[in-house]
This record gives sequence, C-alpha cells and structure tokens, in this order.
Amino acid sequence: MSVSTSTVAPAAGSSNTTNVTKRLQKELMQLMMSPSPGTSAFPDDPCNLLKWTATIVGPDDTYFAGKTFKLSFTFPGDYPLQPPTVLFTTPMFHPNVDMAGRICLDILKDKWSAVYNIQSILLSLQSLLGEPNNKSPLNGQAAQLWDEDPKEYKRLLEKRHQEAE
Amino acid sequence: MDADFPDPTDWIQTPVPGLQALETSLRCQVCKELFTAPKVTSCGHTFCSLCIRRCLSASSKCPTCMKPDEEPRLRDNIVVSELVSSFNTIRKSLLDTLVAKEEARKQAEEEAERDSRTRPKAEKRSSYDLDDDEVMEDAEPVHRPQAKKRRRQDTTTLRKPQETEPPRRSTRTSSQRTNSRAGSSQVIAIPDSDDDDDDFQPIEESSESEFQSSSRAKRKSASRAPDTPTKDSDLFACPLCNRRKDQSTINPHVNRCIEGNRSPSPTPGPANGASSAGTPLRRQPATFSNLSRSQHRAPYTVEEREKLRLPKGNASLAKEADIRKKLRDHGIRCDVKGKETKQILWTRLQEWTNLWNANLDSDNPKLKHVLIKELEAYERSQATQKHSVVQDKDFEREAWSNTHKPGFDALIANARNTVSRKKENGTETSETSDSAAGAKAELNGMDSPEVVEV
Ligand SMILES: [Zn+2]
Ligand SMILES: [Zn+2]
Ligand SMILES: [Zn+2]
Repeated sequence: MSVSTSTVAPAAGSSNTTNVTKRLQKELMQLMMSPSPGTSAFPDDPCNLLKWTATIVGPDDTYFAGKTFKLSFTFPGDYPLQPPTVLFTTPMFHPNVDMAGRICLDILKDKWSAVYNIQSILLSLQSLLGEPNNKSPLNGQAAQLWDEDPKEYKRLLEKRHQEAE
Repeated sequence: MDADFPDPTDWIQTPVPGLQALETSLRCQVCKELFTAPKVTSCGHTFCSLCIRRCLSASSKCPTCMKPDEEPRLRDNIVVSELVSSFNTIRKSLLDTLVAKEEARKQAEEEAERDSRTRPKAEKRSSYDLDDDEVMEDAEPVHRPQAKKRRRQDTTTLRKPQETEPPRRSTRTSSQRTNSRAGSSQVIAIPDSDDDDDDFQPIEESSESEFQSSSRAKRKSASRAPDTPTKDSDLFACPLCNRRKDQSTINPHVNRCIEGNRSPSPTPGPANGASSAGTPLRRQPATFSNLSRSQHRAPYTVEEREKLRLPKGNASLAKEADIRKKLRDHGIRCDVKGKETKQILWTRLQEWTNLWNANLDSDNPKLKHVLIKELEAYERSQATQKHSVVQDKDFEREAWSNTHKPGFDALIANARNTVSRKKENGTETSETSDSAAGAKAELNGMDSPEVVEV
C-alpha cells in the first residue's frame, strides 16, 4: 500500500475513468448486500480497485468439500467487455487448473459476456470443482485420477493443499 | 466524481423493499446504471445504446443470451426509456417519502419503548436494537396483526442464540461499534450522528435519537449551513456510495454503508453541490455534470439519426489510409504515420463510431467536441488501466485512489473484523434469504472466513 501525500483533488472526473471502477463499486456493493454462500470477494488494495482477492469453499460431495481456495482477480481497463484474469492462488489439484493456478473455463475466455460479474464467476468456479471438463485437461494427472483412482486423487489434493499452509 | 450515486439497495431499508427488484430491472446489466438510450436486441434484451454497441463490437453476440446480433438490428426500447425517465422523476421523492414513513414508525416505536421502560417487566430494547425482520414486519399494513405476530415470534426464536444484547456504547468509534455487534448477527440502523450525510458537524443528541436525528437533519440541511467549512480537498469519497466525508467521519460512514444502513438519498458533496441536489436525475455522465448546457444539443430527429448514423465497417477490409482519413475527417487526432498501428487506429474508429451512434440515440446529445474529449479520455483510461500503473499525470486514477484510500482502509478493517468475529462465533448461516434482513444477516456474517488476506 503506497501512501501518497498528494493533495490533488480529483478532477471534474472523466466518465471513462470511472467506467470500470464504477461498475466494480457496484459489484462490491452487491457482494456486500447479498453474498452467495461459500464465496467472498474483496479488493486487495485501497489504491487499486482492479485487483481483488476472492475465495470459494469447495462444494459438499466433492473432493474439495470444506476446503477454502483463494483466487486473484485482475480486471482489464475494458472490463466488463473483457473478462478478468482469474488465478487460483491456493495450490490446486484439479483437471482444469494447472500448477500455476491458471484456469481453463470457457466463460473466462471465449464464452465471456459483459453481463457476467465476479459473483457469477465464483459460482461457475464452484461448480467446476464438482464437475470438471475432463476432455481438455490442463492437469492430465488430475483428469486421469479423477475417475480412476479417487483415493490417490484425494491424497495428491491433500498434499497440494498442505502447501498452502 | 459522480456525487449522485443511487443504488437499488437503497430500497432495502424502506417499507417496500420490492422496489429494489423494480429498479434493478431498469438498470443495464452491462454498466449497472439506469438505461441511457435503451436499445432492444433482436433477442429481446435491453441495454444502453453505448453499452450494447461496445459489446457487439467486441463480439457480435447478445451479452445476456449469446444469440448473434448486429448493430443495425438494434431498436429503440421506447417503453423502457419512458419507464426510466418517469422512475427517475419520482425516485427521490418516493425514497424520501418511504424513509420518512419508516422514521415516523421508528420514532413511534421508540416512544412506546420509552414508555414501557417505566414498567419493570418491559424488555429493554430501543428501536435500533430491533432486528431487521421486525423492521420489515412493522412496515407491513397494520391490518395483518396475526401474521405479523407469528412471524415475529418465529424470527425471535430463530435468532435467539445471537440475540444477546450488545453492551451499550456511548462512544462512537467505528471499531467499538463493530465490536459491540460482535456477538450478534443483527444489523441495525445505528447511524452515527457524525455521519449525517451533508452535515459535517456531529449532532449532540442522546444516542437514542441518533437515527431520527441523522435523517431529519438531512432534510433540514438545505437551510442549514455547516458550522465548520470543510474544504473539498479534505474530503474522501466513500467507495460504496461516493458521498464525500471528512477524515473523521469517513470510517464510520463506510461501516454504515457496508452494513446497508446508509441513509437512502445520496446527497451531493460540496464539490458539485449545486448540480444535482433535488433535481430528478437527468442522466448525464459524470464528466459533464459541471459543464454548461452549451455542451449539449437538442435530441436528434429520427431522420437525422438515420442520416448521421456511422457504419461499422470491417477491420480486415479497411485500409489504414482510409481509417486515418475517416478519423481526420471527424476531427479526431491520429499521430504521424507509422507511429500508430492500424489496430490502434481501428480500435479508435470503432470506439468513435460507438460513441457517435449512441449519442444519436441520446435524449440529451453531446456536441461533437465533447464526444471527442470523451474518446480521448476513454483511450487514456484503457491504456492506463491495462497496466494497472499510473502513467499519465493528468489521469485521475491516482487522485481517485488517494481519495478513496481511507474508505477502503475502513472497508478492509471492517471485513477483517467480521472475519475474526465469525471465527470466534463459529459458523452461522443466515436464517432468512430473500428479505433485507436475510441479506444483511449474511452480510454481517460474511460467508467465507478467509475474506481478507493481508
Ligand atoms: Zn449500460
Ligand atoms: Zn439476448
Ligand atoms: Zn410502435
């Protein structure tokens, strides 16, 4: 967090400057007023509304039940026309997440729509945890073990998850 | 800065919380603002003219249902336009009326409670210790006493474990207030007396009447000059509602905003006070709120719109020289040849076309030179925000951030508080969903414990 001593009053304001930030403010308000269970999201740094940290809790009846996963959100200047960049920052073991936390999810790429928001992304990610797309895995080992060897899957997931602590 | 920051959540606190849904449907799902020049797609979805044009430029699909669509097929949504305009006209007075009604009710309740205090058996709760279910229920028509009573009992039982009365505080620092609520999921309207939205002078009144005083003072404030002049540069905008507060009041204010208890009608800060106070919102982009009428022209007629509409063109067919020529013909800056790539020029022409065509649809069109400035500002913000670094000194983001910093500090502190509180209390989920009370109970218990990592 940088502390600036600048006393510059905000200029009369450019509507474009606040296109993204205004929309993100609205989302923050929405998330505060009606959060969805098992998710949270908050701007990281008071000086930058374009970076958020979010969490999702693994859905029951999945390998991820009860575990909390952190994500980073980075919003482009033309959000919501373009999707944010979303990464798992908690070590993850999932067919559609690589070891760097990158996610393969259509709505974060070609299926993105300007009406989606942080909340809808978090809900999609939650359901991705229970229903991976094993046809185009980013983590082949995870994709293979998912169906074939639940025990080993669970072991490797636990191992990865412990790296978080 | 847009001092007027109405939000659908304003209605949650009123006796008619369903207005939140109504207002939400009058807002564009892309920019989340009330529709500006609403256009309906061929699949029947409605967006602001500029929003849908930008979306279709990015990908030729309806953002809501993903059906392919293209700009020439957009039609005016005249009814929605009228709905937005009439809603805008009544919004403030409707909100004020409903808030006044709610206040009167609370006051009556408070008086009743004061009376009951003399009786030893009376439960010792003041109006703002009521949880929100009760607030909502009491707002229901009085001719349903039976239902009312039953529901109240239900919620009382449900909430029993958290209903331990927090210690009464006479001090009003935000941290104390937060802590005092630590054991309770009740979110109650305890506005700070110093959070009076356009009055920077704390009102010295007994804590019992804080809520009333805050909102009443608001209405009086037009005729009441602040006792202490506050320079605009000393003010910070709340990240949630954009109201401008001085340093000592921003934190409590943000706390209150987070908990949804801000008083509903936003009031303009001193910076641009005159522009929006009391007038029905004629929607104007923030940029122009301080500008004179000479920046605008009369609405275009249907014939003018058809004649002046710019075609979208095709990126691969367009020649760089033609793009340059078009830009120059419109009076738009483009650098000496070679410095800017075709891609940059094309993007600029696209954005210009979107701005121009959306402006043709506007009820309050801007003059061309104003649009050109807007185009330049848009490009600047894109470039800067892409790198998340402040590169341009003229760019206001740094100032914006500085202005908002205290607010975010408070927000984050508050979230952290909520988190630690949650950890102490163990997990609790809210009992009601759909109601304002439910939303706020959840809000107070912020679902995931790991909300903030620092
Ligand atoms: Zn819009
Ligand atoms: Zn559609
Ligand atoms: Zn007709």
